[in-house]
Amino acid sequence: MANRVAIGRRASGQTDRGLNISGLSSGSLTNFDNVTTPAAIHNLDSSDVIGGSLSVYKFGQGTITKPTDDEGRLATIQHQWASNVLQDSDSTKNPLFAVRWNLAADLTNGVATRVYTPNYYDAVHEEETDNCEDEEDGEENCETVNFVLQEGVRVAIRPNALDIFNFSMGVLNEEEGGLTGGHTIYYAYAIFHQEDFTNGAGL
Amino acid sequence: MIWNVFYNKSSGKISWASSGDVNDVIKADQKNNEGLDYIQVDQDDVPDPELFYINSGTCTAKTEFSPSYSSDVWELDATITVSNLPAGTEVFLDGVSKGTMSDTSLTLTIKESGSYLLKFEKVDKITYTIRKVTKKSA
Repeated sequence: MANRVAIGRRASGQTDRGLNISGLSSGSLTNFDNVTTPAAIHNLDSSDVIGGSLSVYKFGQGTITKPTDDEGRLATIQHQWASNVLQDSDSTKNPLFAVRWNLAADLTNGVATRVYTPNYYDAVHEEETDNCEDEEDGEENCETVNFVLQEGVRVAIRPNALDIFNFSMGVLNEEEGGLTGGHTIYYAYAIFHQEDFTNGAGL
Repeated sequence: MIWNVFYNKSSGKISWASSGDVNDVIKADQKNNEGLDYIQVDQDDVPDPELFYINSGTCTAKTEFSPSYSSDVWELDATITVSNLPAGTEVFLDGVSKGTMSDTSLTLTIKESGSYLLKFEKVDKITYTIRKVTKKSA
C-alpha cells in the first residue's frame, strides 16, 4: 500500500521536511500517489504557500569586500534548491529568493538599521582640467578627465546557487588610475521553497 | 556561527564570507579564477574584511592606526611629518598608491594647494583615511 501521509522527512535521502498528504494520481479518480515519490502530486504540501505565506528553505548572511575594478567582486552561495527540493540537479527552474544588503555606515553594533534591495549604477563624469588652450575662434579648449563611478549590488539566481556581486568600486580616475570611495557590503539572503515567479529579480 | 571565508593567502586579506554553504566547485573556482584560498571560521561576528584578516590560518581582528602629525595645519610649501606608522604601511594620495613604507615615519611636502585624501593601508590595520585642505602660508 502506498504511503499517503508523511510527517518530517518525506523519504530517506530527501532533505525537505514538513507535512505531506498524497493526492490522486494523474488521470485517476481512485488511485493515490505514493507521497514519498518525488514527482507525486500532493493534496497538501506544507512547504507550499499556505494562507499567502512563503516558507524559507535556507537563509544566511555575509560580506564582500570592495572591488578593485569595474568587474565587481563575486560571492557564490550553494543552496542546492533544485537538487534538494525538486530532486532534480539538472533542473533549469530557479527558487524564489530575497537579498538585502547594506554598507558599514548602516550597521549599529553589527546589526543593519537600513538595508537595500539589489540595485547598482555606473556613470562617467567628465571634468575639465586647468590645462586649457585658446582656439583661433576665441573659444577656450580644456583637457578633460573622466571619472567612472560605480556603486551597488547585483544578484543572479541559479537552480542550485546564488551569485551576489559587489559593484561598489567607488570612483576611478581614468587618467591617473586612482580609486577612491569603494565600499565593503554586507548581505543577507533567504531562499524559499517556492519556485521563482519574479523572473529573476527576487523579492 | 560557522563562516565560509575566501581570502588572499599571501596578503591575508578577506575577499568575501558567507554563512551559506559553499561546495568544492565554488572553492575550486575561487582558487583557480580569483586566486583565493578557503578557510572555515567559527565566530560570532561576521568576518568583515574591514575589521578582520587571516593570519596563519586564524581570523584575527585588525587594530587601528594611530598616526601623529607634526602639524594639523597644512600650508603650502610646508613639510609635514607623519610618525608612528608601522613599516609596511601602503600610502595612498587621492586613491593612487604612492608606495609602501619601509620605516615608521612619512614626510609630505605640500607643493600644490587643494584638497587631498590621504589613506593608510596595512593588512593587520583598519584602513585610515583623512581629508586635508591645504592653506596658503600666512
